[in-house]
Amino acid sequence: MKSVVLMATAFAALTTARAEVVVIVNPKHPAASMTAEQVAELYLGKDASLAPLDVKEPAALRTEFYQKVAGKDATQVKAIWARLVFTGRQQPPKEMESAAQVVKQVAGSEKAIGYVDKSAVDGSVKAVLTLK
Amino acid sequence: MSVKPKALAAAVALALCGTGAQARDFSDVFTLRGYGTLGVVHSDEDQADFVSALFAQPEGAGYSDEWSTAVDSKNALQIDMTFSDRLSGVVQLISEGISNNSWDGDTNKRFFPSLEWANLSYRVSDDVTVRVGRIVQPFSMTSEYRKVGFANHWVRPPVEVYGAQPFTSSDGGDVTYRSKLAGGANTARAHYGVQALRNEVFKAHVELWGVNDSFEVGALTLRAAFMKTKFSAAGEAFAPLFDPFIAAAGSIPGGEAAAGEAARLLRIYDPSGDQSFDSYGAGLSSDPGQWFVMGEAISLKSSGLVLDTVSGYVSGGYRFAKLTPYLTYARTHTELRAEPGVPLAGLPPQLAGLGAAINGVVAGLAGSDTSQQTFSLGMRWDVASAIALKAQYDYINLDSGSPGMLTNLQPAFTPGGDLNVFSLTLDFVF
Repeated sequence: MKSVVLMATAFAALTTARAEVVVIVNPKHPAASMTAEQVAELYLGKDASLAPLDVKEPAALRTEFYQKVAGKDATQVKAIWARLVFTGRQQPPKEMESAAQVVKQVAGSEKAIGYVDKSAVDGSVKAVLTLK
Repeated sequence: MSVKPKALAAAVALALCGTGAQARDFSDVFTLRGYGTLGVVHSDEDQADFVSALFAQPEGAGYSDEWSTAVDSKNALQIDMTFSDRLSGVVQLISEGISNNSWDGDTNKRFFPSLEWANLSYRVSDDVTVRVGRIVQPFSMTSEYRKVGFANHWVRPPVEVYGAQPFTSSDGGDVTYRSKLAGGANTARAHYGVQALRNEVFKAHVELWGVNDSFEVGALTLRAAFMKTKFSAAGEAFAPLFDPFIAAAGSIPGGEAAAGEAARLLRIYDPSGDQSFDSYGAGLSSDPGQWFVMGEAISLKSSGLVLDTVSGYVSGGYRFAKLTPYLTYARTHTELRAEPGVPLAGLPPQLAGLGAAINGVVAGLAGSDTSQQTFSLGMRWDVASAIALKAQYDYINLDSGSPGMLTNLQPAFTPGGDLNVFSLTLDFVF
């Protein structure tokens, strides 16, 4: 019994590590898909046409997203935003508590863009990019 | 009547949001942030001070303090105001070892909070943004965020390029135009502003305007900038010395040449006259991820008191996870002027003495050299997600006969030669 639990835990950890990060927008957004470059521009403050959302937990998802979309780690991203924020240029991505909150926010706003684990995506939002 | 400040602020914000807008949460409108640096700097030249800003920082490392906390330490608090999708505002207060603009007209105390940014920003369209209020002058590539240690890889921007710009902010505004161009993003900006500079080193009325353009494609950024600076120092600096000489020499036979030359020198060198200089800059940076490199070159041109100067730097580093070692080379070269001065031959002895005093002042200004070069080696360590620890070693080599960009020169100081500077900083943002 114990080993089954252990295996299940290991399996869960494995699937989490291999999670697919999906970029989501409001269904009313005209684009059917987006490139990683386009998403990176939004998340690094180079394009202000959509309001990006970050997710606090799990932190690993955030790390994975920035690594895959822009090849940058969390500190680099923070330093880039510090340049924009402390010159009064732009507000950084809003931090959401959970994937559910990201989905809810994106479903409710045409200007929002977020990223969540594939398992959190539902019909209320549109997936425009899958990062593997 | 007593109104709670929070309630009042919320009411103002609500009013600004317009009646049509939905009622917004207080925390949606106002955000409090901040950044800061705790730093110590040691210099082995004890007869002069190493400073980060030549015309604004009255004390530094070396002579004033063996280990100075004034050079890099600072604290800044910022309130961001988001009134609507289009209208936002920012107020940033900074306290640092630089005596910035004061509130009351007196010279400001060091480490007394001064206004770094205070403006309203309006997004006219997706491409055009207009700001009105206090803005930081944006001439060089990292000018606007040079004080945010956490946002930069180095301890401080190279003094050769950044330390000689005394006028760092102005009250006015700017217009920014963003566009897509040849597969990249272009940002063009024009700015104008005035400033009443009142620090312990310099007091002046300043007028600044300029244009700059940044082009980003992939990891590459190219930048070009022009800025015109007009200033005139407070008070009558040179008139009490020059005017009596010009009047007296002009009234004696054969003294016209001396009077004319003195009048010409007064026009050029009087800091309280109409002074101006032009700054031209070009910058390049590439940051594909693992490594980065950046460089800038600037040129100052003036027919007045400011001597023509060419400066530049190259800096680069490599990121090994949390550790980022980096190297910087910076150089500044001042074009000295030969000023023979007022011809003294044939003048009566008393007048000749006055003329010699004028020539001494002019020779000092025409020969005021800041030429130097610095080799820097440093390491940034990202201790936590919003904290960075940095150590930097600078080897500064002064040109022969030049005091470089050192200040508080003591009688025992010898120009030329070299010095070693060691800095340790802790940068944070919140």
